[in-house]
Amino acid sequence: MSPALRRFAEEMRLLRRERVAPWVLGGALLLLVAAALNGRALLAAHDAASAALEAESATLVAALAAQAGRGVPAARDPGSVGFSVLTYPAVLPQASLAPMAIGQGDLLPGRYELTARGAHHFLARTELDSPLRLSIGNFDAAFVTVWLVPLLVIGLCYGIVSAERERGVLALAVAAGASAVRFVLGKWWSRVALVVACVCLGTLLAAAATGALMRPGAVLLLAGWILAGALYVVFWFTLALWINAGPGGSERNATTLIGAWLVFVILAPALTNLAATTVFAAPSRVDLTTELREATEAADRDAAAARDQYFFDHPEMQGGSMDNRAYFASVARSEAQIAREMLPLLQAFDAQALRQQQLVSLLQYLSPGTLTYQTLTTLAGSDGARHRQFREQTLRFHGQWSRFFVERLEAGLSMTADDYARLPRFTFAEPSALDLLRRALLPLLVLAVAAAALYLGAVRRLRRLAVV
Amino acid sequence: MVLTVARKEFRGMLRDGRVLAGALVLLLLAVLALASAAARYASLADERAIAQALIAEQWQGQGDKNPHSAAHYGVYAFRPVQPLGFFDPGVLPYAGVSIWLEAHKQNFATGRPADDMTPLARFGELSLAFILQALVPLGLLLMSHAAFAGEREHGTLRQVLAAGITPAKLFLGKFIGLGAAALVLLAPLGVLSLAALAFAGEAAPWAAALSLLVVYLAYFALLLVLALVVSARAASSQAALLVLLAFWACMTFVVPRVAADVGRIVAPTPTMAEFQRAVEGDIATGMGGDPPAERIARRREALLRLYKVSSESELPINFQGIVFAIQDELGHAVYDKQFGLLHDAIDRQADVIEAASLLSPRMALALVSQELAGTSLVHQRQFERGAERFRRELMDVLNRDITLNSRAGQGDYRAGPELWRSTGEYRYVPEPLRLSWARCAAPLTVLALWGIALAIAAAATLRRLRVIAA
Repeated sequence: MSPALRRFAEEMRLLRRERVAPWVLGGALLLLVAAALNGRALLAAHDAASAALEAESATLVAALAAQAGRGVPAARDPGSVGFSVLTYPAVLPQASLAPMAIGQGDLLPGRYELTARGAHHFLARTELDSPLRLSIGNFDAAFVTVWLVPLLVIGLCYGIVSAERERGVLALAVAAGASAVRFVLGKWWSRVALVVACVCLGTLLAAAATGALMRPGAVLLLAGWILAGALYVVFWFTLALWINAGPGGSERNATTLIGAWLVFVILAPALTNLAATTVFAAPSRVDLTTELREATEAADRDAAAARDQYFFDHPEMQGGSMDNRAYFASVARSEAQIAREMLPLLQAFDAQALRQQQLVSLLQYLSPGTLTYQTLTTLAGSDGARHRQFREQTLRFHGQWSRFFVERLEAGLSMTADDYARLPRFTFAEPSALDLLRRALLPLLVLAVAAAALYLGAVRRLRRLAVV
Repeated sequence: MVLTVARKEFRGMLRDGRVLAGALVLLLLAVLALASAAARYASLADERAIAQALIAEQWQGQGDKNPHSAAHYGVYAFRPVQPLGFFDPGVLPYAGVSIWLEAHKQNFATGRPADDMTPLARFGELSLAFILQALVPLGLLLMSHAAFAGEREHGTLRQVLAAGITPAKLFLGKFIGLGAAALVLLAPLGVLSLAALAFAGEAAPWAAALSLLVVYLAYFALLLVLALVVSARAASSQAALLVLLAFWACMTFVVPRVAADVGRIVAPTPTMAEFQRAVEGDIATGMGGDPPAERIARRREALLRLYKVSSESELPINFQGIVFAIQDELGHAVYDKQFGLLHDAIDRQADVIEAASLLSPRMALALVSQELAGTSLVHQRQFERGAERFRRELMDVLNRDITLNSRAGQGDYRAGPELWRSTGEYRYVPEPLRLSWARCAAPLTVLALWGIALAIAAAATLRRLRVIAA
């Protein structure tokens, strides 16, 4: 057995003797799997609801196509079908690792129910949930990795040098001819290997428990996740080593490490969010509401004028209703007018959200906690970017969907059974796993460099270490 | 003797550079949280007041219109900003701020502030309440974990007890000394918060603010007792530190999140699509009773009999207004049922979270804090229910106007500004503080139970206080 392996075996024996360590490591494994299963349960409801909506919409389309074939007027009228009867669900499919990091996944819409009416009808709608639950946050694998695993590292490592020094073990080892640096690093590497293996195995089991491994691109993304998790663990170990290589006692080291955890995991992300939402505050939703109302009112006035013009042009219809086609043509004009009015406002929201995200992308390098969380949610597609892409693609698709009916309405055409077969279909253009990994590359590199720098600094400090 | 111990602990803490540095960091964070919240509060308060006035102006200035067109035009209700929201935003970032009050439909509040935040908001927003619920307790645990264990390790515990002080008096002295030091260190934070509240002017809810102060101080006292008990029982100050840190991490972050997710699994909320289908189904079938068409036919027959006429056009009223009212009656019953089911699910989730506060006093404190700050789930629901009551009254007024002032087939009937002015507008008035206090009974009981359990633990620990380090 090589000396390194012997030292590892010895360290494992010591950890087993500290009866808490095996429980803590086993607990971490269990927490990762339980958190991932919890994430799966949360998203399963979304998937089931989306599937039900898609099935319902497909059934309705089939029924309308059959009715159009039989010449039923309501199914042949593009205005009535597009603006009133048919709702099409644009669904964001679950990302491979989504159950591992819920992120914005339970906040931002994962589906939109479209009609030929303006986008403002579906954009403002959110999914039903308890505000209390949302305000507390989710228990997912990203939470366990970013928040709890560093605490485990701190628990295992806060006295890796200082405790040995306080107990006199370090002096004894040096007196027996061992190198203090090699002695400490041997212990340290053993613990790093153990926890990294535990986190990697836990992540793998968690992914398997959610069924993620069966999904396309998942293996690549999971490899990125495991790398991020491992680098994050190594960062905390190197930080603990660096602090331990100083003159402080175990208690002081533990306090310093907890302070670092507080800064990197709690305060830095909260301050980054505060900075992003203060510097690039989102436009007012209240203003959006009042603007929408004014735009709607203006469109209604124009529609009323058009209706008066219609009755002037068709005096034979006075006292009755507009015919269906004229009515829906006026609705289409109103909706287009409102959409035009609202476009700059909605774009202002998007632009500000993008600026916020850019600032977060910059400030994330201040904290390994933020960096890792951002990386994990990027890989899981729950960092908000995937939802933004979904929204953009849905808006483009909605243009197509509306045009399909409006063109037929304006051309005076009726819907046929073939038209129903030609209805546009929405498919989310998924960003490739390689693209996501590319986005995660720089943060991972920075994390690795930070860990390496801390390690080298710690080794240098260890060389000057007083063993008593 | 007790005061001597207290003085020693007090001075020791205030001389410790780490404690002072920690307090300074907390203060800086509090200033930051307060400044950003105060700025946001001021702009949101203005924005919503302006919007509410604008909506009222639009409603009254809509010109001559058929009342049913006006009903579809509707009005908006905006949730006013709560003065104590700057201290504890509670659930409000995750709840909608405005509701469209329109004909036939009970809409959801929309425009959640959280929709415009970055993903990092899910880590926790930096608010004064967060600082007091999460960071101050950590500071308290760090500064008091070695109170007994440290003295035992240094051998001074035996000397102190040999001087004639009882363990109980020593405990009390340490509690008073550490508590006083914490109070001195936290005083600037309290003064800042109260000063910020003073900017709210006459609307400042001083009674609620003082209630919050009392609850938070009681909570800190509870944690101090906990830290002293753990320190007195622990084998070493390191062990005390680790136990307290593990407890802090669990009660602050782990238990609430696990409880919230378990709550959702136990009592899932319906999806929006399911909710809408259920509403549509109930309306179509008349909630399993009379379909609307049958109700309308019955009422028509009754009216024709009452007025002894044979057709709607002969009635001295417009039957269309009554049709709208019948549709609304059914709609109200359906929405009451479906919103009731939704709220039941959300309440059962909240029950799970409340039950979990037995394991996490921080959760109990958070629930009390939200209630007293007026930012709880219940306050949001009161705003929504108030808005819905107003919508129903508004629709009644408009339907009655159609019924009484127009005739059958009079499609060109128009009402004017007088009717729009007569409908008034919705203003959310927060409930009196005593009702919020009443809802705090369960979480306060949990905190009291923690207090009793800690008192028993303290008594048991002090009876068998170890004076020599293991």
